Amino acid sequence: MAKDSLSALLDGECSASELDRMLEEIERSPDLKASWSRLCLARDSAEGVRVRKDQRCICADVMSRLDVQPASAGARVLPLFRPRLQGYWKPFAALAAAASVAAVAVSLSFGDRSEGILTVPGLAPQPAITPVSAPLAQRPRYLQTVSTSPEEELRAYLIEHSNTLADRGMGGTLSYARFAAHTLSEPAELSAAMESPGERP
Amino acid sequence: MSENHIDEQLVARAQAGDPRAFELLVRKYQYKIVQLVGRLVGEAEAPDVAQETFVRAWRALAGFRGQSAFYTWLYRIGINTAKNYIVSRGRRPADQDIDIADAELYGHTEHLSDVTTPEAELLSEEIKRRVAETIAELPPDLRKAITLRELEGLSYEEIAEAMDCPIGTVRSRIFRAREAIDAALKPLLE
Amino acid sequence: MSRALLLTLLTLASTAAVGAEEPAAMLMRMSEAARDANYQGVIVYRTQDRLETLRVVHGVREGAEIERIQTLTGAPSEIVKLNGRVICLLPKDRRLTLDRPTPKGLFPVLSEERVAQLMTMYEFEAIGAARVAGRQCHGLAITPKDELRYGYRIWADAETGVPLKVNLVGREGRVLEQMMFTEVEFPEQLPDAVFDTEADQARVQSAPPPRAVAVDARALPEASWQFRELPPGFRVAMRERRLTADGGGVVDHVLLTDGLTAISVFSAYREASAPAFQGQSRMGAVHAFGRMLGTFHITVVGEAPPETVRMIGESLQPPPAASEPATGPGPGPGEPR
Repeated sequence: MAKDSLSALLDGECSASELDRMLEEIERSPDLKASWSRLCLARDSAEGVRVRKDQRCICADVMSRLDVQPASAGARVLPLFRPRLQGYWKPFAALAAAASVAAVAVSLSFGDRSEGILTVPGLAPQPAITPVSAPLAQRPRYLQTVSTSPEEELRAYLIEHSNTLADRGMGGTLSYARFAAHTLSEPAELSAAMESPGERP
Repeated sequence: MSENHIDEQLVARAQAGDPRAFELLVRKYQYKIVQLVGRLVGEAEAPDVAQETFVRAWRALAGFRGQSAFYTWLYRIGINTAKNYIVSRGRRPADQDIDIADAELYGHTEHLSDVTTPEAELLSEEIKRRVAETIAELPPDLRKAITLRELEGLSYEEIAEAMDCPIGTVRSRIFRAREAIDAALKPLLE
Repeated sequence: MSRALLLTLLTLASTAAVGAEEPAAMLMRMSEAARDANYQGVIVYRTQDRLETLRVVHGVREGAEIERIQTLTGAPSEIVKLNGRVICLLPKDRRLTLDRPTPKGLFPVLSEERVAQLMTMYEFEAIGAARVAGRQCHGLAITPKDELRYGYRIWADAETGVPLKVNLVGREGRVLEQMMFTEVEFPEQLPDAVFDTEADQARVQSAPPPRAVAVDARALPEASWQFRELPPGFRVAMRERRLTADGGGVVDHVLLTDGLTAISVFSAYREASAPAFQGQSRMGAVHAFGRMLGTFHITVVGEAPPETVRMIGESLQPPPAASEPATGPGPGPGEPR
């Protein structure tokens, strides 16, 4: 029975085939949908989420605005406000244009309007390496960057720079916060926007 | 099922392009997101910004790798959407210091109460009361099962062990408890 | 820093320009306190388009300095540093990194010469008291005398000297970046658990064994890139060379500083067909500049105006007789083709 599966789904204990059947049924049954909403709301309330009496359900509005398909992995996802290409590192557009070796001095400045999902991809895990000779300084291996995309490389350089400064006392407190902020930021939602197939060597 | 993975199935379906699965996620998290962004943009604008958050999440879904809980990822999108909204409305010029009072609005203050809405006007308070009453009136087995699930966060397997019964029984007890809760809430939320 | 040196500096400061007497001492005190004090709290870090909230614990015990930084926005993650050595703890299903030390002594204790030198490029001014995170603080403004660098406004706890609010200030007084405690405590002692890095290290996924790298180090010159010109006051503070992730090349990292502002220059061999960041960009308060120099990709990164970063990038020159990189197919810059 679908309601039973609904309950299991709320707990993440639903089987795949149950879920299939349930999604079918829920499409046909506004009552099931409402039930799901009520149970989620009950849970939220118990957790201390504050919901006002006049608060409307935004679900219908959201669903009406969705494109048919989410962007598939590997395709570039542009943020909502087109046609401006927003990104954490602005020169993405410049990079596309500057594929040649000739230096292109493109000066881009951030406006005060900063929109769009942060688009810096996460740092890819890198294998450990050992420098061949002293006096090669040992560096954190996550900062090895050459075999990554330009955006990732630039971000990694920023982190390495901030990390180097993070040892400082006073101004270093700022570098330290910057280092932490950029190192620890969750990149999961960002990768889709910057990935382009075939960029990795 | 750990909290990190609880939405896995729905997210996987949504990533495969099934908006029905995404809708369930929207229904599940809309109030949390409205509350979250409301702290930054104010109550009046919160529903619009929350909407925007979900639309962006749908579009970025392919990039969600499951390395964190889905809600954690969604939370970050909510924060960024709200911040972008503030900046784009010119409400906080970039060169303005955050003073302490404003700083409280950012990030780590889930425990702070939203002082603009008195308790009496909150639907959530009434829901809490009804749910508590309903649970109190449940037969002991159902009450124990739902409590272990909702308050202690145990998985079905763990509850089965705690209550010394099969997993199927746990599932059924929890379902029946929820039926009762749902019935109690229905008149409140129609 | 020894009391003797502090007194020397205070004496020095007292003979400096009127108005700079206390500020110089404040600066040093802040720098020390950030390293020596026990503190814990919540920091809001903000740039124009980004905001993060972090929980920080810092303490010293038996000469060991430990720092823990956790994000409060987004996925729970934590960085732990012990004596400057970073053990970065990410969510456990991300591959883990580093157990390599950051260079110590990169910014040594401010010496007499250094303070005097800073004062030629920056104005120091006490800017009064303010409350930050419920604590009484003294403010210090460090304002550059030219347009080539940024300044700071720092509010440090009156009692401990720990900086509680630091603004990076650009032109026309614009705040480009800010770090501010919103809650802070200064416990006499921190719990033992804070210093237990073994537990942290057990959480680190063990790294695969290091790859043997077939690079003949003798063929690689010591990092000897030169700068045709540097903005006044800037000098090379550090040069280091490290191997790239695949072990097939090197990245040279040169750090330039005027004592306060720091700019990094990275140079790496780059295949002609590989995309590379070129031109200018900005992330928060940090500006970047990229260019190709022959077969080398140069990246300049620093919290300084774009003109400064660009000037440095454009003035970089290869050493006069650079050897060919051991693993690159092409000649090095300056070599005949």
